[in-house]
Amino acid sequence: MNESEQPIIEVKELVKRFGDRAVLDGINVNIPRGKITVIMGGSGCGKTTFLRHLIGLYQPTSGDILVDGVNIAGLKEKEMNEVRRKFGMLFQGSALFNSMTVGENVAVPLREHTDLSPEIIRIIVRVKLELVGLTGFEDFMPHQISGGMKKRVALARAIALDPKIVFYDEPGAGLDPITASMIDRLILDLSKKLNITSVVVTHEMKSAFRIADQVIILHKGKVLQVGTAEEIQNSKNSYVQQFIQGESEGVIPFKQTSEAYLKGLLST
Amino acid sequence: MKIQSTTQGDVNILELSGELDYHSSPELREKLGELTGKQASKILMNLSGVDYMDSSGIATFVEAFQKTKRYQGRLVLAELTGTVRGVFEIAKLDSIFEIAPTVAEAMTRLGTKA
Repeated sequence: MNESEQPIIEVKELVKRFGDRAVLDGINVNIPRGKITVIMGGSGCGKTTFLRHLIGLYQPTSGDILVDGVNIAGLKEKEMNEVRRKFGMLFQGSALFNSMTVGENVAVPLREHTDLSPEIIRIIVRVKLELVGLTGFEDFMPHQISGGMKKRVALARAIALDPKIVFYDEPGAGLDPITASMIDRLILDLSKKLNITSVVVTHEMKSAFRIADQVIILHKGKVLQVGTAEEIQNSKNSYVQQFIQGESEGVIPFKQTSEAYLKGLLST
Repeated sequence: MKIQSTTQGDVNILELSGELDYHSSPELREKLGELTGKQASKILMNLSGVDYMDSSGIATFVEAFQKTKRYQGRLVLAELTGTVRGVFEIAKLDSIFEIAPTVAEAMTRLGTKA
């Protein structure tokens, strides 16, 4: 297998327990290089916890996570920071610094992680802002731009250091459908142009099927199904169908059984 | 990254090889700064040996381009690998820079025989 066919991330038997509860319960999955992988699942399925493991914020209880062949499970903070240089992250709330201009926000990772001169950083910032369609907004303050534009600034910042992998946490959250679709187009565009691997956590079905090369559905801390958008849409799995149709009644219970409720209540 | 500096007639040639990234681009910036500082009128960059370039590499070229423009100097880039050309295209800068397919062609454009 040559490097381009080798998955950029390999997750093997990943388990995460909080107390005696397994939030991730033996995950085995690969993230293909240069493709867009969407991780979906209902609230509490473990997708955020899974994402936090991929970027090294959580250490697994057991199992391995290989990024470009390097096992990040159990890695020391200094070594993890080296691996993180390959990562860009788009946070759910954009997480811009309100006291800084748009340009200064994009420059933050360049100032923090490189010894580049201010003049070179200024040029890189302009190139990145052009890539997200925000040429001319360098001197604006975050409060002067819309939510969608803030997302784009955050994306420009996420790609400032030319990452190999960009992680997106609910990129469409809090945006109207048109703006959310524009962000999707940008994710597609940047992934193809820059040959970036994208890992997107979302529960927005339309968005997922619009951008995904690969979809991973998580349920109760396990991988329920992995496939292309088409394969997932045509899935025979009743859990998957209930999830993508957004139906409250089905094999995924709307609420726990009264036995589970009583057991939980009386055991504390 | 390696930078080899030579002159041929009135052309200053910088031949780069290896990876041009945010670790190595400050060194290139320094070399280019020396040339633009003395207002070198013709600078040729041979990029045939550059197998990877990141945004700091392109920013370094943009800065050198701006400086040479100011004193009517010329900066010609030659023999770009596919990866490097791709970075210029993504940044929409491939039409701004003077890019020659070969060093010989670049020398001809600069009015000097290779």
